[in-house]
Amino acid sequence: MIIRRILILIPQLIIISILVFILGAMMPGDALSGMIDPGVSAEVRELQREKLGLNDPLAVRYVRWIGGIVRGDFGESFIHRRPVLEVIGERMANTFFLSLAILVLTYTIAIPLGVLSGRYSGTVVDKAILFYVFVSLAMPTMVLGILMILFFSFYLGWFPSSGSVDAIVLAKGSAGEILANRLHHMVLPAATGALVGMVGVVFMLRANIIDRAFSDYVTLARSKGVPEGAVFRRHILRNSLIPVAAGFGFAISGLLTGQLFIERIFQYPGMGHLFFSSVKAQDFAVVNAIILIFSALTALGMLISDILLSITDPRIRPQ
Amino acid sequence: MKPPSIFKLFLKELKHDYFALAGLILFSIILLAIFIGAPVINYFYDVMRVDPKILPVSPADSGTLLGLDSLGRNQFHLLFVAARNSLYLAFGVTFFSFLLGATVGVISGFYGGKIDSIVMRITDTWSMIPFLMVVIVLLNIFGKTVFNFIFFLTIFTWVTRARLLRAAALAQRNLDYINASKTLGTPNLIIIIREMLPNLVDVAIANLVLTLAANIGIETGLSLLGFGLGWNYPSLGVMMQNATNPMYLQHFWWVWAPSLVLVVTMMLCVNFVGNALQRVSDPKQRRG
Repeated sequence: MIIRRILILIPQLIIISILVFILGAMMPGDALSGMIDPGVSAEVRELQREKLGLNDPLAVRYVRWIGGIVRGDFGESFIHRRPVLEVIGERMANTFFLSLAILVLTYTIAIPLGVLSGRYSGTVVDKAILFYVFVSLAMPTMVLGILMILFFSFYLGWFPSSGSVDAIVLAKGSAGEILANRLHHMVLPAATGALVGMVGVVFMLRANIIDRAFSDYVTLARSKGVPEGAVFRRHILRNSLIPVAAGFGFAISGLLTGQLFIERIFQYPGMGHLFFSSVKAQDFAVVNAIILIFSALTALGMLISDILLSITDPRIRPQ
Repeated sequence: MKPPSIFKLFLKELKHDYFALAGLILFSIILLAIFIGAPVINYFYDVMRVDPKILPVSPADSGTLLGLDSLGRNQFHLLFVAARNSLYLAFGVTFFSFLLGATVGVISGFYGGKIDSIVMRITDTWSMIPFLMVVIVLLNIFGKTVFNFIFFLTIFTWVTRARLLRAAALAQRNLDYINASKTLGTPNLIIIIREMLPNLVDVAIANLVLTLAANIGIETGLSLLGFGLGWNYPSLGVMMQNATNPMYLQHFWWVWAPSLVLVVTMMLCVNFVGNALQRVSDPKQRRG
């Protein structure tokens, strides 16, 4: 089943790569823009284009492009004048650590809140949590980010508003100081990401718990005389956590895209930030590569989710 | 016996959920104010008239309710027009993506089998694309206009709608009333429209309302970053763009705060209403 699922993934990724390639072909400029100075005559430029194969049919160019990517060659960024993979690689670690921080924070906030509000649904606790979640839900990521910067960075002055590490610390500080400085920079973006990301988890968990509480097997357990605490722990909670566990796979890759906005607003030098500045600079080799990488990551996340679901929920495991 | 309609159930639910009730009332008032106010203001004033100042002028100094921005535009007037544009956009995206998604989803769920698995493969593939990034790139290529915005967001967000409606339709397709209709020889199209759709309305409406809130947020986020609409299309997100500038964020609150408050208020109201509707569509979660 898992093998079959992976096999389906291959044509899907090929289709996506074609779409991304077409997107790239629609973008203005090509590998030569910015490389040749305006003084060069049109004929010379045309000769260069011919030599680089830029005048070949779309299909030929696609095969060459995808062939390069399979070998790890994403082309060259004409802003940075370096291979795309190198430029992205530098940012990847930053994005990864921020993702990790957001992921951990999201679940440590969301699971207790979801469990509390599901278990005590209708009570004051539940209403307070729901209200908080609703306010969170009504804040677009960017808006929350702006308010966080305004309050915690400008007003209180507790955390830096942008960047991932101070240049002076990076140059002179010890390893410990650099780490502390990095974490200090990460607090605001990570908190923003977690506050936005937890909404879905809390809602899902709460709805699941309430739904389960009315199911026949729970009624049966209660009528057998199983103590309420055990009913909740063993019968309701365990089943309610299944979809949450499955969502984890999605969360891993989904957070990368959500960070797009967070990295931008906090000027955090990760892939999302690189994406925006590349769009602005029309550096489309980089833009294309990032979109392709994100698609592949999403596909991977979906795969992980499916696998997790089949592990945690024996009912959907095929015989 | 006829089951109670979703609207009756919704009204009943409102009695137990004051937040949703307040949200509904407040959002109606905001909608009325915006859709009446914007044309009136547009008629009497030239909202976009630019009279460059180096710095924004505060409400107190300018004698206007919300001050002037750095282009000398009256923030209060601009807010109405911006809010109307944002709402058009959000309504547009919600409506068209729902239309497309629901059509595909219901057909796929009703027929099942081969059609269903093909459609599901397509939606699977489509939803792997990081759509916000692609929309940003497309807007950058083809221009940041309202039409493009609605069009591009529609072609990427219908997938979620399709999946939801497909799941709901799939749950109905083998129920007795559908089978009975089939046995009677009713054409499939009529079965879908007359028999199945009324049973999908609950799920659809709740989702529609929640999507509306999300779409207001998407517009705000993209425009705020300068990757959505351009400065010459006033929208709530565009009005907030200045907040990304630390100086504006700290010292000229009246330039970005009103649109921020309006966006959050509207999304909050719509979410409360949407959530109440969602509870109505799921009998286990109802309060009324």
